Amino acid sequence: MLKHLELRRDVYYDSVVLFQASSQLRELDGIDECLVAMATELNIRLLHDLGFKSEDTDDTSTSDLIIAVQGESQEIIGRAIQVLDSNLESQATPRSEPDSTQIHRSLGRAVRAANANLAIISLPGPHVAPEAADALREGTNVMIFSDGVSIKEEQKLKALATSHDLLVMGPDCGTAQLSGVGLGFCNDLSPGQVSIVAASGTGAQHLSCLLDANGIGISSIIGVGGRDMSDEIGGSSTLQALRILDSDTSTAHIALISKPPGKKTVRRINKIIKSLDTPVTIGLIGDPGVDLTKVAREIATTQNLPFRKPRLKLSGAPATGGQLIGLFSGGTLASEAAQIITDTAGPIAGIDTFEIPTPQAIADRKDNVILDLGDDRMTMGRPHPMIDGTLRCKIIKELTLKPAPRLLLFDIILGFGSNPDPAGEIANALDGFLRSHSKARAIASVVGTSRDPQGLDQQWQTLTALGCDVYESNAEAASAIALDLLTNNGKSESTHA
Amino acid sequence: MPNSLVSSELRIATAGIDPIDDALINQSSIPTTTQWNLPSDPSLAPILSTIALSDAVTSANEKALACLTSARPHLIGIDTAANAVGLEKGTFLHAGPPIEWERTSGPLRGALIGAALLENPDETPEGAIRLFENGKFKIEPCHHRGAVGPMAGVISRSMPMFVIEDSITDRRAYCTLNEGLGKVLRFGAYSKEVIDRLKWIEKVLAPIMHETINTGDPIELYTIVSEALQMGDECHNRNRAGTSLFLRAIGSNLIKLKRPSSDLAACFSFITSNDHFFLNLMMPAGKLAADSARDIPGSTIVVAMARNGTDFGIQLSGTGDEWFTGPCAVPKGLLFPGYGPEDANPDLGDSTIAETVGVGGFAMAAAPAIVKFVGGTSDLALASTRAMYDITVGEHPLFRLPPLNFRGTPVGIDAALVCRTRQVPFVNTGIAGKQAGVGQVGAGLVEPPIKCFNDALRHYGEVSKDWFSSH
Repeated sequence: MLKHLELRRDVYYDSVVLFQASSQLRELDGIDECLVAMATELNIRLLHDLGFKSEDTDDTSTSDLIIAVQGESQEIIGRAIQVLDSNLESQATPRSEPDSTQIHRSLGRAVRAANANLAIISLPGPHVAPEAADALREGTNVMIFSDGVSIKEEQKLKALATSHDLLVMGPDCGTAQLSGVGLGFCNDLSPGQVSIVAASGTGAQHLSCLLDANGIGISSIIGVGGRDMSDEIGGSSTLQALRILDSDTSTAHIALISKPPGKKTVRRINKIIKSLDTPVTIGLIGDPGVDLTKVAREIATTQNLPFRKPRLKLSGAPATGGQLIGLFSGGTLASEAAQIITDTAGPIAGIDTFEIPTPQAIADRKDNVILDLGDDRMTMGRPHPMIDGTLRCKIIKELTLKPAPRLLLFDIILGFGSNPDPAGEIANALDGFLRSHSKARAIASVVGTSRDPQGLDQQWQTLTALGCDVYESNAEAASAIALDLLTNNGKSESTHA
Repeated sequence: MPNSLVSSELRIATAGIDPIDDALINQSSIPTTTQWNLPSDPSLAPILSTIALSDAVTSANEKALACLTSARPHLIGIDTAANAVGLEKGTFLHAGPPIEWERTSGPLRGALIGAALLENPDETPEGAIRLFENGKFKIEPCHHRGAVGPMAGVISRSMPMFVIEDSITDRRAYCTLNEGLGKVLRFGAYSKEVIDRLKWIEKVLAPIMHETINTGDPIELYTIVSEALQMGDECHNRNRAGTSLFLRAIGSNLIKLKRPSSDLAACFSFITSNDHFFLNLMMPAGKLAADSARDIPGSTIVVAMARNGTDFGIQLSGTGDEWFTGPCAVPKGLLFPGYGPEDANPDLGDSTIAETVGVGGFAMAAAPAIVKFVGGTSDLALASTRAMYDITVGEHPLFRLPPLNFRGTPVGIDAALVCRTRQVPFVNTGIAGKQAGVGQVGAGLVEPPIKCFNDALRHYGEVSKDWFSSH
């Protein structure tokens, strides 16, 4: 082993820079030990401990740099000194500006950094409230896409929002459109002066698409979450949304879409609506005689705009009645259809009549059933049926194996966020179903606009080519079935025993 | 001002699934995204939710933050530990949360033996060990007596201590005088050289310092901390500027003392030869600030982080004197020449009071030089400080960071935010040798165990039930 010691006079390096330089040198092959340090008393003692002779360092000051290297050969030591020099040199080279891209570990901090006016949350339900609360405390409106937020948390979040004059959209708010930007499941709509407040995402989609088809554009869609108009929440977000839209100069008309609300909440909301300057059309889907197509027509009428008859294309197959099975991806579309058919042809069973709604159990039913496949009980552990229609295809394949012919009713929902080709996804199963029985029939309602990425015409073509009846209006599709059932089956008195 | 959600351009921040972000990007509305994590213990979700939704917790934490940042610590003199913290014969203080002698690590053991020898010159190391073993000598955390100690943090009754007073609350905190580098008691050394130096500190340095301090006005310590942050210190692992500023503050009064000039010169050069002299002033100054934020019902703010070489412990403002502990990690960093990773002792010392009050690792952006301890770049220094804003409730009004456009340092660690983000505080530290008496073997960063924070939050949830129902 060779020992090499050199002194560099009157230079200064930070001790940490030198620690690092030393440890880099020690890692070189053939270098046994080294010390690169300012010549302080402590370091000179260290130098002696490493076996370097003391007289070499008699005449030093703390502004001198000691370089002591112990290595296998002169050549190795020489190379080490070169490495050291280039390391020390690089310390003096200016670096580029620090990276300004920053990680945000909580939504509140992201909101602060972006000076955001909207925070969107799609986290697992139990972890939503802290992020939402932080965003509200930062003064930002919140959209909660997630479900699984407790009603108590929803109450507290909405109280917090109200105290800061902010809006909470959701929980379980799947659809919104603000400033022309679609949030969640939303269609490509032409701009206009009608705004929608909706406790129902697919309801808002269907209404806005019907209006769009009649040349009536949309300003904003504000989702409030399915529970907002229950008496437990009291319509907190609905009231706030109505206030916001009333003061919005680009909103001339407001549509309010919900399942039938709690009694107290109805009174509260009606009181507010009377105090607004902007006219409001209310559509409580699930109440007898109310459907989205009627709401759309009413809006057109109040604005003195024409509303054409919704499009439909029939396969020509004769209506022969049979057992109805409705497989919906949109919850409001399912309840709208169930209400219309019940009004005319008698009770329809829903998902709550199943112990476990497996494809097999669903196909085995002998009564008329309409199911919301987006219901929490159906979406556990799988994506929403608007994104992934696998479950619906499975049920249709089960139906194909049954001896009795069925009347199949379903929806196809287009737009941002939805499956890129929902009709194509179901086509194979549907083809098998329609071929299995001469009397099997399939009726579809298609929600979408001509600008939606899936292609409205193409989706219609796929379905009509298979032999489906296709409707632009979900209510009209349901009415046609109701009439068929009444004509051919008669009015049923009770649901599944 | 009415809510302008529908009338202004959207500026969106998101937390959650990618498809939501992708859909926004497709519509040319670029969201600011959150790098969200499940909580460190997902079963804490209900209490984390209750905390975040509570206005009362928010105001309790604001109050804690106000206390943390409004303290104005002054150095007013020096007194013995016997007087300052009422230390009884046979009782010794140590860094970190409470610990039994049997579980102490090498450096703490060595320091306790050294302190026992200092107080009892006729005793032998073996005799001292027996006295600790059989409980004749008692040990207790510095934190329980309003004191803090670096590394082993051992304090015995004859040791002189800096007396720091908060001009706002008249509260006091105490710390010993820093012994310098190399073989020193705080790293567990107890040879004659160590004891002799402690005696010199007691007989020469302490009286001179006391007289110097009392010759002028009380020395405002937070002014020095603020200035040191502008001069490349982060005031935990680097105290070169702080020590220099302190010496400048006392220098003229020191040399005017009517004392032997050899003694004055010895004191002067003792301080100049030890960059960490100011650490023992910064620490009690921080302790004063942290103590003023204690015992605020409902607050989730951390008021102490400390290590005894075996356990890392934290205390929250809203959970009184309870310590929440987890195993100390071995710091990651740069080792001095001649030492390897096997020489390093698990994390040690009360000096994490620095991070508790918004300096140290939290002010890393101010001290790019020492980011090299962890093999990093000055970019990493900025990123480290920035990360700490995500787990703190405020920014320090006095401690400003030039590289972040003079933004205040992140201060007020919220245990709830730590659990929610899984981001533990960045803690700078010296690395002690594992063998008693070896001394400092390096410096680096250490990760506090997340268990402390999980346990603290769980306990907070249990003891705060009544408080929540009445708020």
